[in-house]
Amino acid sequence: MSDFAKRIVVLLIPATLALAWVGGEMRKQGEMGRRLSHISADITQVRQLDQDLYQARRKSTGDTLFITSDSYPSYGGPLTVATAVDKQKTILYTAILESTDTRSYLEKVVGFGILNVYTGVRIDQMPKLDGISGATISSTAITRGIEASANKIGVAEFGMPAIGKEDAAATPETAKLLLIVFVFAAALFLVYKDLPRKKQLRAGLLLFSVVTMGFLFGTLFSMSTVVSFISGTWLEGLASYSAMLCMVLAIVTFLVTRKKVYCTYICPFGAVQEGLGKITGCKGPEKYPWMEWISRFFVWAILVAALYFQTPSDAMYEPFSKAFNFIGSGILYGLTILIVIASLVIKRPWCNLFCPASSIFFYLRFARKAFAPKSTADISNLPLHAVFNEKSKKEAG
Amino acid sequence: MKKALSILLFWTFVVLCSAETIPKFVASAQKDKDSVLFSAGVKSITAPVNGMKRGDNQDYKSLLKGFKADGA
Repeated sequence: MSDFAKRIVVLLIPATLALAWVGGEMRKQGEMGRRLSHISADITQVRQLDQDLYQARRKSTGDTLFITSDSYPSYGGPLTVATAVDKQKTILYTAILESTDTRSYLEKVVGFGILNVYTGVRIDQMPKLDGISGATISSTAITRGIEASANKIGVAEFGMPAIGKEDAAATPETAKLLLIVFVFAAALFLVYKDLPRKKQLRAGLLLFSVVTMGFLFGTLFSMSTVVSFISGTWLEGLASYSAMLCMVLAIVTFLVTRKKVYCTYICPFGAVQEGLGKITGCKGPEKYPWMEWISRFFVWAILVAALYFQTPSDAMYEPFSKAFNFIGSGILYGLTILIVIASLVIKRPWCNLFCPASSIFFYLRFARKAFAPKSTADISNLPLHAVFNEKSKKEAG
Repeated sequence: MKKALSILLFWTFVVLCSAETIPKFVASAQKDKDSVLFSAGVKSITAPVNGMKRGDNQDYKSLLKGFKADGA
């Protein structure tokens, strides 16, 4: 393939993603009043009173309702809820209007009855709830959103005092972010330093990563993170930036070192597979170019679809949530078991055969090579620090 | 043997990951853009519209047992 053709391909990929995103933005334009009338078949004649405040009528009784919505940052972006209150200050309906969170997490939270907790309750006697373990961020966004929207109606219609928005993070964000920075710094230290027990140190770092980034905090980045990043939903606020930070650092370290530092030294899921492979001492799979191209096409197609439908969580097909948080669909459960068993026969089967991170790193490498000046072609495969060393030697000479 | 296993494993990944993602996108394509994701109402209220999901109606005090509740 000529350099020109390579450059066209490199540019076409972000162009198709941008087109999908623009198409999605045009598609999602909806009208809030019509959406609120869909909370229940009993709600009719919705009309706007104020910016976020609507009045409606119950079909069954003819009573007046006040409905309002509020958004709170959740895992994948803003989560919007609505609350409908009657003239006796009683909450009649609660609803989740929009969310970019993983569907299975939301289903778990709703399955616990989080929306029902508030129905039938007076807005001046609201229960104060904390998050649900295992889906803390989503459940906190829902409870805070309902509390804020109910208070909005209370202030506007019943003269209740305004309650300030609760902005404290639902999970220990600072600890997570510091942990990620520390792990990447430790990985870079291992990459650059010739240490006597490098293998053992790498194994120790991987184990540490499994325990902390995997089981404790669940900070792995996924396709969902990639879609959130590209679509810009994170600009509207996220409850947790840890997966985003992890992804950004994985890309930055790849661009700087030209090595997959994240995959080799950090990824908890890769570490689990590698650990299982050590038991049997198995080798990597037989890989063919067509496998890699199918895998890359799959990643591209999923990104286009998720950007078009504006649903980052739908893009996630990695079994991380099932492996470390035990949340996910039956298919992901099957996939996780398959990978665990296969890891005993083939080294890192998921990483080597179908992990989307490999396709993303391939694209970055391909793009760099396509645009690398001819004169530096011989050093384009060297890590950045090695390139600088070469230049320093030439200048000194 | 290893070659066959790698190919089999690869196609199983393709099938499972497609089965995980494609139905979600199909559902997004079919979903009315004005519909809501989940809703709940007090007992005796009629069914929601547009085929959305609704949480089961339960006594909220019993539900609070599942939460770390304060002031309920």
